[in-house]
Amino acid sequence: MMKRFVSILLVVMLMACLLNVASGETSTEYVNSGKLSYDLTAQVNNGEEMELEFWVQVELANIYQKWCDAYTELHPNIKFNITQGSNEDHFKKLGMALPSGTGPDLFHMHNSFIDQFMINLKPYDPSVLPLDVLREDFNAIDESLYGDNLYYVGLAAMSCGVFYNSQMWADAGLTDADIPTTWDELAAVAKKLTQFDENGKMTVAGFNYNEMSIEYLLTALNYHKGIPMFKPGTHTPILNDEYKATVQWLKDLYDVENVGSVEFPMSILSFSQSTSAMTYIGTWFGNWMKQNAPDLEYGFFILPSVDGTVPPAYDRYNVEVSPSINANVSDEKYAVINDFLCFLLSNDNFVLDFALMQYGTPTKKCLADNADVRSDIVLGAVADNMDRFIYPGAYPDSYHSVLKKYFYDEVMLNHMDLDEAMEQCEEELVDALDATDFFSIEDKYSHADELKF
Amino acid sequence: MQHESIIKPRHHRWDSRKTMILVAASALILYYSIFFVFPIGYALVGSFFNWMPTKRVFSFIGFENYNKIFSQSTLGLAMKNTLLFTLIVTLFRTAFGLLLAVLINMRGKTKTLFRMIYFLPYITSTVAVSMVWKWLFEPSAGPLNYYLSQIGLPTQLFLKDSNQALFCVMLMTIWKETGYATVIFMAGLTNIPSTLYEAAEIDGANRIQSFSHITLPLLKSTIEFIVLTSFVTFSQTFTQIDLMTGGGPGKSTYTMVYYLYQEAFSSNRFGRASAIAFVLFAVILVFSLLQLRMRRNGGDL
Repeated sequence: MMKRFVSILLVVMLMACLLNVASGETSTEYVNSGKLSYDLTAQVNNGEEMELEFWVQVELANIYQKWCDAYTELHPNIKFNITQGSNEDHFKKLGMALPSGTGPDLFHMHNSFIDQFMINLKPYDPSVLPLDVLREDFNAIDESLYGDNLYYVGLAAMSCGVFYNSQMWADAGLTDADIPTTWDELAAVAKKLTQFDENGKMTVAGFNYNEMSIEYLLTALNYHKGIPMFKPGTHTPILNDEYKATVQWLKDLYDVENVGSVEFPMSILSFSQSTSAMTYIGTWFGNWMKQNAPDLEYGFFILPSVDGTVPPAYDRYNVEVSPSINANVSDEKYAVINDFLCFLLSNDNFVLDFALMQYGTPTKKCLADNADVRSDIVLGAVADNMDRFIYPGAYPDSYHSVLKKYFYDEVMLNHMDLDEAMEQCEEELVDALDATDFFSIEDKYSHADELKF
Repeated sequence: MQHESIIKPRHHRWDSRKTMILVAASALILYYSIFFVFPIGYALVGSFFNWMPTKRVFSFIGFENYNKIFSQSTLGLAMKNTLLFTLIVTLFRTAFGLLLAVLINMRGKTKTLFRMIYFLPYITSTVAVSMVWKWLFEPSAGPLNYYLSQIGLPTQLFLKDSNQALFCVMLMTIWKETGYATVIFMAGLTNIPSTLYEAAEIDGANRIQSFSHITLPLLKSTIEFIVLTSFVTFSQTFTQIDLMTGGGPGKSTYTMVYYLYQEAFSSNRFGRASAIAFVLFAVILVFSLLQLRMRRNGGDL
């Protein structure tokens, strides 16, 4: 009986170790290499019991549970009640709960919702989380600042790039030297990777931007030409003739170069099923591949520029952020939550866990040369070129969904006239963005002088 | 004493009955007030406001929401799609439901088995069914295009083609919803006395004549029930649109409820969404009144 028990225990421990390695998580050890200090011995809430309601996105539940448990171990009087929800459910529920005063005490936040949620949030307490100290520790503090208030801290910088199937790349006779440096080279490589059957039917798309890539790809390619997303300091979208030419170039990739087809499934699905050799997508896709196609070997490169020279910006980046606080929390809970946030933000291992889980580059400066980040083909490539990635501000999701609706659905699928699509797209973007208080900060970018405002 | 004992319980029973009626009526009034009258009234008021709950914005703008939705082509498109979807699905659900009910009714011992088989899709989750049909319609990996190519027909884009997408969703809905109509029609068929068919047979009527002169007239109220409930249900179609097409390609499969949902939950414009809801309400009201009038006049559906 004892033998059996020990065997089961060993198997469980082995599985736990394997799972931990597979998810790339660090230990629960508190490590602080930054300036923000945290007193591990101080008592919180005068030692009195408190339960905090914490809503998180399902993908991050393990990470948050782990660090909530670590905090409870330090402060046994504080318990967390974690509620998980899918990305869509999580934010829809918050949208209903926060204004009615029934939401959680703290919750996982995404910066695209700041415009909607801000009035229902309480800023971080600057006496616990001083701005100047946070600025010393993190790269993306000013990106998260509204007036003098901080409602979250950007912890992981996310961007996009081209994922390619390593086996197909090699089978086509391509090597690392063939990584494209211009748009034309990208099209040429895609052509080499495209495969057809004996009837001339495409079986492998050389490049796939279907359904969830084109809207982001357009923005990036336009940055290469120096076209910003918005007029400076406003939310007025820029859709000009150069923009139209970019849409036409993407359309020609399918229609003229014949390197892809709208008949293929969504970019990420097709890539994971090896029916597309290259796709352009967010860095988060690296994590998605680990979970959905762990055996598929892939490579990664950031988008090449138009002519091989350094562009005004290679791409845009966004930040995945720390939890936000409900405006309705009591003073006692507010104090404990700020202490908990200080515990998280000062802890290198939490920030690293969070960034690796999101598959983004950690914004904590002391983690800039972290081996796990630098050795990763995706995160390493982004980190090497971070200076040429632009942050336009926390704009709402509707921006890209409108682009996708017109430039993929209407132009690529419904064959709408490009001029008509540009006109209708602009009209709908203006209507969607007018409902927000978002203003672009592209003009604050360090190479903003190279953009054509 | 005896007289008193008879009167008192009667008086007590009367009081209990009155109290029961009062409690039941109050509960119903309260329930409908809280969950129907108040939200509908609030939405009506909200349709005249710039209403963004998450931003706590609620400012009066008169008819601007109505002006905006009537000035955009999306309302006309969503209305056209909703009417087309409702009419076609209602028509085929009713026709196939009746046909299947009559065919199943002719069978002997296997009647229950067939009824169950045709009812199964109806009780299956719309979400699960939508996902399966979405896969069936997948242009490159789905089985439908495989079979089309096997018989030498050109492959189709199905849900990715704006001319086909709405009809693909209709097809799935008809397949899923016909079982319900079948079961209701079968219940209606059992109420038709078999002596009528026997008399018709003696008079030399064939099956088609029996169907058109006995079955169809006696199922009139059942048909009216199916048509009315189908009309109300399908004019509010949302789930399969959201899951199979997301309103696309472009806006080609926008229905009124999907349009309303997008305005409320994607654009955070609850005022505009409320205005759309009241336009839909007005349309359903007009159609329902027309239907009622036709019933009163004894006209055909």
